[in-house]
Amino acid sequence: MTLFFVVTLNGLSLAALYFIAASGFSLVFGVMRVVNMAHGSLILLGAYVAFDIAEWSGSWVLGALAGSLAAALAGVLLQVLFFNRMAGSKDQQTLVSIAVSIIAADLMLAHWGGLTYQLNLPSLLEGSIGLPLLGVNYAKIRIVLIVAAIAVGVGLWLLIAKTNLGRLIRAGVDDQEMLHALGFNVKGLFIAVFALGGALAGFAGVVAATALSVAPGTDVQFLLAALIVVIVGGMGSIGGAAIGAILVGLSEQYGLVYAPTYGIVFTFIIMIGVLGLRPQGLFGRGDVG
Amino acid sequence: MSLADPSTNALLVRGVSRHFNGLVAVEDVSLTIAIGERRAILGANGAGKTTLFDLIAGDIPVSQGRIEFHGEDITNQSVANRVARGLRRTYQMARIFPQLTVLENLIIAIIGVSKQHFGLGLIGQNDVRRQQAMALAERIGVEAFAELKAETLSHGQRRQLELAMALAGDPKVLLFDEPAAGLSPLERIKLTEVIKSLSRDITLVMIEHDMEIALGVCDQVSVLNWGRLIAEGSPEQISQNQMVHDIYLGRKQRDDA
Amino acid sequence: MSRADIILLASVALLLFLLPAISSEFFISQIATRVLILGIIALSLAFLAQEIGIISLAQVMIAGIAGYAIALMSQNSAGLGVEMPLVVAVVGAILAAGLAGILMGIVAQRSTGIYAIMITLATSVAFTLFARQNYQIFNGFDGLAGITAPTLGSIQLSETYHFYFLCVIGSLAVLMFTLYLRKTPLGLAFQALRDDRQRLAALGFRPQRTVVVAFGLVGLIAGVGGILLTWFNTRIAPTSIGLDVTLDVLIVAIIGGIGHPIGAFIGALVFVLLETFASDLIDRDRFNTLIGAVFLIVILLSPGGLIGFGRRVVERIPMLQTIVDFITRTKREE
Repeated sequence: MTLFFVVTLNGLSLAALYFIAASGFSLVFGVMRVVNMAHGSLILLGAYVAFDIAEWSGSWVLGALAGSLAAALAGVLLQVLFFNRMAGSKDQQTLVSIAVSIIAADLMLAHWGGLTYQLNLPSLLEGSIGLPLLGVNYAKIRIVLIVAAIAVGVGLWLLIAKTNLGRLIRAGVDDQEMLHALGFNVKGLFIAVFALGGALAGFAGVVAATALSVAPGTDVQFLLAALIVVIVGGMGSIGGAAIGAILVGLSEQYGLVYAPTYGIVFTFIIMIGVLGLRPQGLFGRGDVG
Repeated sequence: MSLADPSTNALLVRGVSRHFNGLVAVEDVSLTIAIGERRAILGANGAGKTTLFDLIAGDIPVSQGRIEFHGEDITNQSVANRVARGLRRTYQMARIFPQLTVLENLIIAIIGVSKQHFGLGLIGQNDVRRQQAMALAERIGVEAFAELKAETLSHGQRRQLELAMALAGDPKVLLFDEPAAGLSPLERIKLTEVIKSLSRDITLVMIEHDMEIALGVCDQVSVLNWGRLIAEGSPEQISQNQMVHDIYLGRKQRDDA
Repeated sequence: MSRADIILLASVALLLFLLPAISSEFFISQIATRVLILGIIALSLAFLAQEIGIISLAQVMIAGIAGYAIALMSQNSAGLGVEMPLVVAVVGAILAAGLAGILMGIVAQRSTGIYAIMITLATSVAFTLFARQNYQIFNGFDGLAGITAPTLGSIQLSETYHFYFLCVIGSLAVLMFTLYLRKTPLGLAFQALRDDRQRLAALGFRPQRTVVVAFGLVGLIAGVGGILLTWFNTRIAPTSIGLDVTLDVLIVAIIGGIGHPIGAFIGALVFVLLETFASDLIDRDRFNTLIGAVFLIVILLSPGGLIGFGRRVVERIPMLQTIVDFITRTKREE
């Protein structure tokens, strides 16, 4: 029984990481209908930059800020250089982002090499805490991770539901021409969304490098996780991404423990099952052609 | 002219409703349309005419009610099954296959009503389906564009092509959604001729704003307003109905003026 | 097939059969043969994209299933499977790929656009992971090795030139198959499906079944490529069908352009030439940057790929257009 609870907690903390990784991806898709397959590259970039800056400054916080900022900047560049110019063609945007991810992976390999990087924990988060009732010690960082994911989720929800920017974003989803006609700066709005999506990707990279570790291939791993999470949950829905992340995180951990050989396949089976029954995902709006 | 068994109707719509997230699009509509009848459906924009067609054709499911086709209940039948029984429709915005040629559009319509959806035989120059398609093109007057990609057609020509596609195979009931919209005066004359030349075995239900065509070719008129059927009768009765005048014909005349 | 297609195909066939006379053995075995195999697999992706408008990233997986099938029905290093007569093994492997295509089609039948891309990608990754974990059938990470092209009577197909000609015949066969298909009821239904799926339903079709059939047919094409690939490498393993290979095939199809089946082979030629001679251009390790950049440039500048680019060039230069018209027209009058 204790094992089951620990595995469940592991699953939830993995879900937390996947949610942060998927939220930026989902936000960008939700607002602009852009499927950014380079999202994994932004995550890895954030992790690498965070490592370099944390090494140099000795501060995890500075590293985390720099990593998020670098990925935000890269996200803005993607929007300005590519996506902005081809607003009409969704398949073309997807292909461009695939091309960018191939180039980015290769250039990052050239610069940072094939090593595995891990960010040192801030001393505050080191060690473990005893869990009440269960009588086991559990790593602090994993608990913090779950809290961080909830904070990101609530923050995004507040941003979209309660602020002026959020109202603009929601309007932008439904009627871009109308927004433009009303004199809103749609271009600026989209750049802001990409910056936010990039920053979330970078932060996901920082968290991944702190809680686990990163190396070449981490980009693909997290892109796939993000894809599956938002496919299962429904593209563009923050709540859907949360449910999707929990499903994927739990199934991956239960799979690893209870069916170690094929556990890794479980996640995909969930996704294929959901898509077969509901092509738009559990919470998707079904307007994706 | 063969008169069909009067005991069966071509189309029987009984208490059909359709709601979209609480919004009423069609509410408790009943229609009885005899075999060979020409029926016009009138109503202002948003009256629920096209939704009614969507329901009859099976493009969207009904929320309530029952639809019978030549005596058979088709309420829960798939679109494909309805087409196989002889139901055909056109769309408010002509829907054709832009990347196919005009002739290929007609051939695909002929294949659709055949049992050869997965046919692997070559469609040669002398293929019977090709000849049938050419005959349809000539009947509707688009044979000159047969080998052009359908995307090059004008708005009116697209409508004519779509109409020809609906005539493929052996249609029993045709649902035409504003067939005259966007047509030139000459094309309208051709359209009226084509409709008048249709066999009386075929039943025609038509949404049309052009009163001359609608009242000229139809024997019966049904008027929808806010999703409900508000009047039904011969063209004469309808054009004299004060309520219809107020809501629809009057407004229409003001628009035209 | 149009006159222009017949002329094109005949010229390509002539060129391919004469190629050994004018090129080195290295060129035949390391470039021409690889171009043809890569082209066949890319064609299965490009054909689906062109005819029904769905980009499937499962085609390498499906080729791999044919590869595993032929390996399991031949003598292999792992001693797995049952050795079968050659005809049974080849037909069985192609049918296995067709069946895999149908299953993929059933899963993806309601998905279009980016959703179809993602579901096929995820299925392909899942299969690769499964093959890597499974030792009873797929022999895990090592896969199945020692699979050589068979001997037909006195002809050893594994010999460089014989194998090349086998690939030429395979390529011409799938090219003719795709060009023929366009003029059949099924081929027309594919194109109509791509233009407007719902409209096709209103004509009496069941579009989802047409999608499944399309996936099955391109599965057969991928199967041909998968068998040739396995014979060429003499092995099949999870690394032969990994994500990087899937992306390579996508790049090949897009670079070539999905306007005409020959585009897949043109894309494959560019890809293999770049791969072979990249070390002369840039640091060998940076091949992915080079091919990624080429991919990016093609998408940005010529969404129709090199085929589309070629068409535009011909249209802009009156003399070329005249020559093309002349060739096709004189043939038409015969």
